[in-house]
Amino acid sequence: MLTYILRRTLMMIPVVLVISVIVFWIIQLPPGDYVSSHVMELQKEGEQLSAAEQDALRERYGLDQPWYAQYLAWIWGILTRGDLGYSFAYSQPVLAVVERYMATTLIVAVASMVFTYVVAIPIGVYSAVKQYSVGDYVFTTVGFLGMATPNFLLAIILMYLSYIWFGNPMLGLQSPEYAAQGWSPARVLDMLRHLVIPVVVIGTASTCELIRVMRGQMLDEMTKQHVLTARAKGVKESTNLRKYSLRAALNPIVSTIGWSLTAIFTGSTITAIVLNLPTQGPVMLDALMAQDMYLAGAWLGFMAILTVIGTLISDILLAWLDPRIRDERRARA
Amino acid sequence: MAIPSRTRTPVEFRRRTALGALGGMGLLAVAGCANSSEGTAAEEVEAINQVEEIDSSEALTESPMLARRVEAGELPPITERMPELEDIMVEPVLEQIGVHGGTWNFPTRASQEGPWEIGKPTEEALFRFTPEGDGVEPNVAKGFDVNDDLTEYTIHLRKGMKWSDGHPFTSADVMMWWDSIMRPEVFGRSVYDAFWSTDPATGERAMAEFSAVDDHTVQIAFQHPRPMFLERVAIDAKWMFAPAHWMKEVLDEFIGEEAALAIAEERGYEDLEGWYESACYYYWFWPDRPMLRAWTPTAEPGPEQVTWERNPYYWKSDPEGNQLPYIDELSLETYQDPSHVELQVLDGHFDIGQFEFSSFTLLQENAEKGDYRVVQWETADWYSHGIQFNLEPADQTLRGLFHDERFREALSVAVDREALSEQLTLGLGAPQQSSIAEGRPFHQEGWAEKWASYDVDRANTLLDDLGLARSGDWRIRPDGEPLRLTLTQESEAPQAGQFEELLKHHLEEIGIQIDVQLVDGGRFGELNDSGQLQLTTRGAIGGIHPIFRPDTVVPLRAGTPWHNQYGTWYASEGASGVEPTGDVMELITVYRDMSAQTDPAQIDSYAEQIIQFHQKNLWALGYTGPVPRLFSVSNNLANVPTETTFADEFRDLGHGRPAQFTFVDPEAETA
Amino acid sequence: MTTTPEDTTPPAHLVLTVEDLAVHVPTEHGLLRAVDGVSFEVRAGRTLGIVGESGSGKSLTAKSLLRLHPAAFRESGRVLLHGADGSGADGTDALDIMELRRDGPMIRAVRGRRIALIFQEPMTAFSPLHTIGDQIMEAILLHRTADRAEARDICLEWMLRVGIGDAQRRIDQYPHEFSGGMRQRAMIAMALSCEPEVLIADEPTTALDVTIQAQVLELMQELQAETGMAIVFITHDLAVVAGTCDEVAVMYLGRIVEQAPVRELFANPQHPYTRGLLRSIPRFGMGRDERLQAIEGTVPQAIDLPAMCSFRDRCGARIEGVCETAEPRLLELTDRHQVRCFLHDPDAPVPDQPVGSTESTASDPAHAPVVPEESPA
Repeated sequence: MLTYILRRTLMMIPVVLVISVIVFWIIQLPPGDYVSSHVMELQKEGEQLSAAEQDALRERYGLDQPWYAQYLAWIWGILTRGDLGYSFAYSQPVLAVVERYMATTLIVAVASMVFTYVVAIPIGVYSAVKQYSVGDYVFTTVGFLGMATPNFLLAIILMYLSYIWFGNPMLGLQSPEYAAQGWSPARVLDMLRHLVIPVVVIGTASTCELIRVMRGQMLDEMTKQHVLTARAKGVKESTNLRKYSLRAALNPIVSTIGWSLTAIFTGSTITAIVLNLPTQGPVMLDALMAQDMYLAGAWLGFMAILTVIGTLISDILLAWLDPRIRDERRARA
Repeated sequence: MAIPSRTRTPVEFRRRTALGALGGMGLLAVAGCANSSEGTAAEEVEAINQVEEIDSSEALTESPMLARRVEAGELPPITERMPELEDIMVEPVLEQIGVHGGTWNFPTRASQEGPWEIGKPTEEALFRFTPEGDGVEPNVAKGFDVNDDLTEYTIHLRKGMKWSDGHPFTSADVMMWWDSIMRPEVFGRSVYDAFWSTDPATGERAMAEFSAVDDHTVQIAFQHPRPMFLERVAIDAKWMFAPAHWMKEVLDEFIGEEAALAIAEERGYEDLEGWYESACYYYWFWPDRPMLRAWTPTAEPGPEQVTWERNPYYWKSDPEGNQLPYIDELSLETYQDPSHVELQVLDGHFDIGQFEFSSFTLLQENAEKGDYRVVQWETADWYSHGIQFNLEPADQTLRGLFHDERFREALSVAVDREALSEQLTLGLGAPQQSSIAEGRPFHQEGWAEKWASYDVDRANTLLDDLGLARSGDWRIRPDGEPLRLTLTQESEAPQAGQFEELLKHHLEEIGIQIDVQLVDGGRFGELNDSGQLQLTTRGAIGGIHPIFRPDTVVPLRAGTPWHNQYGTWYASEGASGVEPTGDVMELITVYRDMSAQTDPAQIDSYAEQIIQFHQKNLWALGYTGPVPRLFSVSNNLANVPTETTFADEFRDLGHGRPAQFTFVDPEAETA
Repeated sequence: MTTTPEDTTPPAHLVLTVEDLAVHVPTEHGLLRAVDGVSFEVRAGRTLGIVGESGSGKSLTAKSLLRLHPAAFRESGRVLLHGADGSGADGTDALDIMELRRDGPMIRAVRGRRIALIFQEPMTAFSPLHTIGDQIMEAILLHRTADRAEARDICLEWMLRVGIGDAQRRIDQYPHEFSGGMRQRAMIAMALSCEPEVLIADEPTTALDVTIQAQVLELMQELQAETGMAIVFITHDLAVVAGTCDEVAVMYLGRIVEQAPVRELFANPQHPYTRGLLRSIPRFGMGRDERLQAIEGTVPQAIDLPAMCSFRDRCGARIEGVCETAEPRLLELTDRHQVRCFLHDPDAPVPDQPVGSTESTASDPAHAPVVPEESPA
């Protein structure tokens, strides 16, 4: 098992490198570069940069080099100094920008994931056990509605409702009066209140999907022979459900946890913009649009790594949970 | 409008202050006229603002927020914090004497995207524009003298004035800025235009020379006459000072490169250039950097919010001696999308919000609910919707057409301005030609009506006369190709696409095929720079006065689409770009002559010539007149001007003098 | 009718009595009478074989005995579980499983403990995610002891007993690590570890190859001899029946059509279906050109059956005018041999005769249809 993990981890490295090259190349593909968009922005503010000043800026940022030279310099920096490069837009190292938003991003992402699994699994089990009951139909309908509604639309609807009912659209993650204070129970409560809409919006689509999958898996498992065997042994229904059906049904779901983390990181960008969340998504969107190469490259590289790690985690989990796969891999390794 | 005479002696500084007061009254008069039922109130305020100087230190009153600190021994008493009595700047109030207290909830974009959103309103320039915009008045400086031939300016600073950390503000700070920051071009900008004087004969430029006469007097000497010096400073350099004591700890000139780099890294910058740009130019985000502003940050910007607090050493007071600003705190809250601001303004959360015209209806409808009033500030643009012709496009046939005024007239009269005005501006942008409005300086009779009728027949005739015969739906160029033009706009512009589609509709009626192209900012810049644009609806030309900011009307540098190639030529001194000819070249010639003038009346007359060239040629066509810039102002907030000019030259909202904005009831300001 | 020597051993005590068991399943096409009035007795130490083709309802019968069907299936009849010493043979002191709440604590006390069920496919019968030991011990922990260590010992003991060598290692292995035969042994261990009174084996050897089959069958018989439990052996394989069962019941379309001690059945099959089944078995000594005699037609669905003999359409011995008019009832030919057929029914309706006629042809040898007989080789 250990050799398997080691082998997979080593394979990750070339994959991520290749992705980083492709990503870097694509980012600089659109015509223009960071300086040209920066100049347009400045113009709007009433500032002008002369051609000479623009060239000087380009030289300073290394944007006058061909893209592969920039890429190699960047990768070298990462490998030798752990330096992710410089964000032109923020005038700060990429690492500083990423760090600034990391905490909130993680909070939102983890909360969404927890919400998804905590809500979806019980409902999925219920739907399967009480198949075709009123409850099942209700959840199915709500589920499909949730999956069909785009995230941003749901965000707007919830914001609107919050505004109508509570007089507060709950933008952002924290009410302004708490932002400067130290941590207190009241502040945590405020943050939790603000988390409701983002978590519901971001979590909904995956929750609904998960409910359907869970339901299907449970129905599948519940009709299996060994469930009947257990029942014939005199095992209680609830134990049977939990120990045999649920446990088996969870396998494929648990093994997709790895991916869903990436999905949540990326999928929440539009939602974050609509809800004014201070997370990575909008920051990175701006980076891509402004061709802030290293910031965008670092983020996309990070996404790639997350996906690859996520897949690895999924595979490890699968092996851990399913002895058949474990042995198969052991035999192959 | 005339630019006030510039010959001053030290005694005359009092008149300057008086002019400032008059300016304030002018503002008042305008405000007063707006609401006649407050006529007596206007008189009262006028009386209040008669005071130009604080007589006794007893009159000085500070905010309770600071009084507490003084009592606790954390701050020296107010008399020691403010300048010497006669040097305290008295800021006239617009409507009423204010009350200390309250938090101003202020929406901003993330600091690196929109540093000016907070930068402009809180800026303290050495000299600032008067409320009418007809000249500059002292602000940080107390006054100035200039010799007769405009080669020597003497600037007087305020005695006893201090930085926000309590350190005295002296001429050393001005010298530090010039010697160690501006002249060595430490923050990535070349030495500003303001500090150059031009030899009228050769056109050669010479840089100014600064010297400190004493702790509170600075002299700037020019080789050649330098008219409009302070106005140009107010536009280019804005401030002309930096905290010497702080800079000495930061600039590599004083502490060595290694130490400076270490500081840069600590602050999160990779190299000195980035750090200095931030420390010397976009400096107002650093809590430890001494400033002269009314509020200073208490912390570095966070992802969602940061608080700015009153500056205990702020050097202005109101006519009754209350130390300004009235408002205790600013709460800067980050938003990502303008709709968030709208939502929270409707909610009554943000005290002042700035809006594009497209939000007009929404704002008006919800004013009562959000407990705010909608305030309209005029802009100095010549139109709100119009097109610019790139006079040097890649395609030579098009170039010929664009330079032919019959072609431009055809495109002007082919469009129904009434319809556009209704659809795009709710009728607020008058259906008229690109021009300067009545009542504003350099207004020309008949300009607004030129080529402004809706006359499709005339358009067709003009195009026929140009030899653009029609074949089927489309007109054919002399080279046999159908006449097809690209109309470019930035995709992020408000209402992007709406105006362009309407234009397309009209122009296709007269047989010209139009391709509407919406591109992102960077791409637009590229197209502009490489001369690939043909027609564009981006931006508007105009400006307060050609001598202040001529960029959109005179080709001095690249950027403005209609003259981009010419501006490039001028800025590169002929190395790149295209040399202009005809009237466009005249613009440059007249501008040069104007810059060499010393007599304000002469300057005005040259400026008028420039304007008249524009009236004659109409290189940019306007279809709807300028629309106001909208603000929502909380009903709890007073002293905010309702009618004034919104322009970058005047620093946008700063022109309303935020230091004297006041909450009517600060206690109610909690949400 | 030839007879076989009577079985002279006294009948062992009754363990299970099934009376008129019926399972009706509502489907979209109509009511499926999957099991339609089945009755039999199960005695200690004896093996009852239930034989039939797929669709005969034998598996459903087995599952009904433990109420394993979902609520949608309508079950009726009585399944009486007698006391350990056979008391209650007359019906008192016996537990009617049909009366118990489905999945309630009482029926759970019966399942696995007093009646155990083993299935056809040992691979799918075990959960792949749990060890064999865990699954065997689950039953033990439910019914015999709460002490894990003790349960483990019992489990090991039974694993050895069913012939799983190296039980110490195997107990912590997963089902996929066992061979087919091993798994079936494990299943038997699991079923028997709680020492039930009745073992119901639903086609336990069908999925195994012949040599393993023989081993497993031998094992079952050994354990039966050791513990005295009753076995209900459900299969379609007559050869296995011949080798293992004491009594056989033949089911067709949800009903028992013939029931007799094994020798009697093979020597003297009375029902045309039984005869057809016996004829269709390939035998040694058949000529190469001899064809297997299959029963013509296929098993119909037990939905909306008309009121007639359910085998009539495939029966080679059908009596025109009789077999399609009514359903035959179960007759006792001897006290051990029952058959459901008009051929043996003195009260069978008479063809072309008005109803009510007393004349019957059944007792008249001259009129009785010739029934081709073949004595077993």
